[in-house]
Amino acid sequence: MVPEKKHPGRRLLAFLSGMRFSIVLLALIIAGCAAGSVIPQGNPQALTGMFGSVGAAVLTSLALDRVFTAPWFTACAVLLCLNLVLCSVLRFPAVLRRCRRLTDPKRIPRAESASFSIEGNGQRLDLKALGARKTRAWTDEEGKTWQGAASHAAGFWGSWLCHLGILLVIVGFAAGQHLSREWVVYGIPGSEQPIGDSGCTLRIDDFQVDLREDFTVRQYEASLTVKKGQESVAGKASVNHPMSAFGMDLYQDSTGWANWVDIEENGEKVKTDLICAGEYTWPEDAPQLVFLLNKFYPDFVSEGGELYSRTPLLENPRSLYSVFYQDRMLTMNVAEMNKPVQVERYAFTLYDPVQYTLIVARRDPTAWLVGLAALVLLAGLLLAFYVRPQEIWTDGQTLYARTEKAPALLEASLRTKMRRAGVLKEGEKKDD
Amino acid sequence: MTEFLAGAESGVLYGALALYFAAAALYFLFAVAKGEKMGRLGWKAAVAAFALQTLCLAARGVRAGHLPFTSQYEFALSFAWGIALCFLIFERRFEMPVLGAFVCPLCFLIIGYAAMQSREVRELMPALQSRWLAFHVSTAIVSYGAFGVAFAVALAMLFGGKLTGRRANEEKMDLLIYRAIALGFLFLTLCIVTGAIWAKRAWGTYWNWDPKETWSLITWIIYAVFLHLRLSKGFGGRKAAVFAVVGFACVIFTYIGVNTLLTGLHSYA
Repeated sequence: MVPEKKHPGRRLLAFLSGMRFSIVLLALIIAGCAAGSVIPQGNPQALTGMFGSVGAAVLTSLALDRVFTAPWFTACAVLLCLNLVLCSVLRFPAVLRRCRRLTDPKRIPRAESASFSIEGNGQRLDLKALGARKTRAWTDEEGKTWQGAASHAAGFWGSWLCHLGILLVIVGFAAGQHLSREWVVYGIPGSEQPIGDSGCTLRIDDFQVDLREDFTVRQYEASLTVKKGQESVAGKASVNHPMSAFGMDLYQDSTGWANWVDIEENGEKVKTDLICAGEYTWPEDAPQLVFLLNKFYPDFVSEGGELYSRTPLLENPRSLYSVFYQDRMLTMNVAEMNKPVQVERYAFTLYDPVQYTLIVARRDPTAWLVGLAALVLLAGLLLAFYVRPQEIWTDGQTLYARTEKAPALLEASLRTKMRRAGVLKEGEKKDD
Repeated sequence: MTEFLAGAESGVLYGALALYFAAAALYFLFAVAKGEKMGRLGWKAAVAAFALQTLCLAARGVRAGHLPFTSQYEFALSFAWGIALCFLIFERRFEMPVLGAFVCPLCFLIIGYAAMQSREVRELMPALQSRWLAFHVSTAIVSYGAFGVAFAVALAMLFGGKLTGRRANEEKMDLLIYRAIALGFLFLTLCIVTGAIWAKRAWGTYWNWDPKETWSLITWIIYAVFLHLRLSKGFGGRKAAVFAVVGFACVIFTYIGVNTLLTGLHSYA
C-alpha cells in the first residue's frame, strides 16, 4: 500500500506547531538576548568605542545594536506566539477530552494499560483506605468486582495554561510597547509645566532629599500637584512609592542641581535664566555665544587634578562651565557663586543653586494583562509539576495505577499508603 | 554590640566553612568506601554547617538592619544557604546520601567566594527600600539553591561512577534532577514576576532588558526547554544531566558574571 502523502498545508502546520521549531526560535531569542546584554544598545558612540568603526558597522547592519526592537527578534517572538497558539491553545478540545476521559464513570481501565502494579498481602484492598475520595465499582466479564478511582484531572491543564500564560505575556508586552506613554518633566520647587501632550500639567510643590549622617541618601521625596482642566490631585512621589493621578503613575526618577544665571551686557542685566547641569543659555542678541553649565559641585574640592564634591551639602558651591562661540570652545573653568564670568562685553553670574527633581509620568494600559498572564503561567506551573492526573483500580488483591507524570513518585506514594494500611505484600525493599 | 555581632558573624561563617569541608570529606568517604557511618556523620556535619550558616545570616541581618540580600557577600551566603536547604530536603526525600559528596563542596566553594567579598555593611539606597526585596531575593535563593542541587546531582550522574567507583542509581538521580529543576523553575518564575512588579514600583517599567533581567530570562528559557522535553518526550538520563550543568552555568553567569562584567539597573553590589 502506498503511504498517503501529507497535504503541504498540513505539513506546514505540523512544522509550525512542532517542538523543534519552537526550540530553534528560543535558541535565536537566547542568542539575541545574550548579544543584547553585551553589545551597547542604542549607543553608537559606545559601540564604536568597543568594536571600532568596522565592527560597529557590521553589528549595526545585523541590527545587533538594537536587538530588542530588531525586525528579526520581533519576527522570532511573533513566530513563537504562532507556535504557542498552534501547539497549545488550539489543543483546548483535546485537553478537555483527556479530563473527561479520566473521570468518565463508564470507562473500564485495563490492567495492560497500567503504569505499574503493586501486590497486596492477601487482605482485601480498599481504595478509600488508601485515601481515595470518590470511588466506583464495576464487574468484569469474568464476574470479578473491581474498584476504581480517578483524580487530579486538573493537572492536564498545567501545560496548556503555561503556554497560554507565555503567549499572553508576549502579547501584553508587545501591546504595551505601542500603547504605553511616557513623559519626562523636571523642575525646581514652585515650577509648573505641562506633562507632554497628556493634557495635564505638573506643579512641583516641594522636593526634599533625606540624607543620613554619612551623607548617603535615605530617600528622595517630591510633593506634586497634577492638574487636568479644573480638577487637581495632590500627592507625594518617592522612590518605590509613585503617585497616581488621572490614569498616570508619576515616578521620582532622578535629581540634580540647577543654577540661576544673570547675563549682563556692558553692566546692564539683559537676561535671567535657570539652567540645569548639562544645559546652556545665551544672550538674546548674541545667540552664537553659548554658556554651558557642565557640572555643579555643592561642596567643591580640587585635589590632584580631580574635581569632586566632598559632601552633598552646599558648603562650597562651584560650577564647572564652558563658553562657546560659533560652536568653538573659548574657555572652560570653575566659577564661584555670585562672581561674574566675563566674556567680551557680557558677564555671566551664577547664583542660588537649587536641586531639581526629574519626574517620569507613565501610562501603561496593558500592565494588568501582563500581570494576569503571570498568574496564569504560575498556576499552570503548579498544575504541571505538582498535580498529577492519576487513576488507580484494584480487584481487591492487586493495585493497578496509571499516570503520565512521574509514575515512580506515584508508586512510592502508594506503597507508603499500602504499608501504613497494612496491606502491602511483605518483603518490599526500600530503594537505595 | 555591633562589634560583637561582627565577630560572631565571622566566627560562625568560618565554622560553617569548616563544617561543609568536613561534610564533603565524610560524604566522599561514604561514597568511596560504602561506610554507612561516614554517611550519617556527613549528614550531621551538613546539618550543623547549615545551622551555623543560618546563625551567620541572622547575625548579618541584625547588624545590617535589613535582610542579608543586598551585596555580593550577603547574596553568596544566602545562595549557599539555599543550596544547603534544598539538599537537606531532597536528601531526606530521596534517600541519596551520595549527593552530599557533590553538594557540600559546592556550598564550601560558594561560602569561600563570599568570604573573599567585602563585608562592609551599607545602608539601603532608596531603590532597595521595598517589601519586594524580601520576596524577590528569597525566591531567587530557593530557585538557585534547587538548580544548584540539580547541578550537583548531574555531576554525580556524569562523574559519580568514575570518582566513587560505584554506579549510583541513575534512575533515581534522573528523577531528582527533574524534581529539583521543576522546583527551581517555579521559584525562578516567581523571582522574575516579583522582580517585574518591584521594577514597576521603583522605575515605572516592569521590563527594561537590563542585563540581569535578560540573563534571568535566558536561564528561564533553558530550563523551560529542559522541562518541556522532559514532560513531553521523556527526556532524561545523561543528556538531561548535561542540560542541568549548562543551566547552572547560566545561573552562575547571571549571578556573578552580570554583576562583574555588565552594568545595568541591578548594579547594587
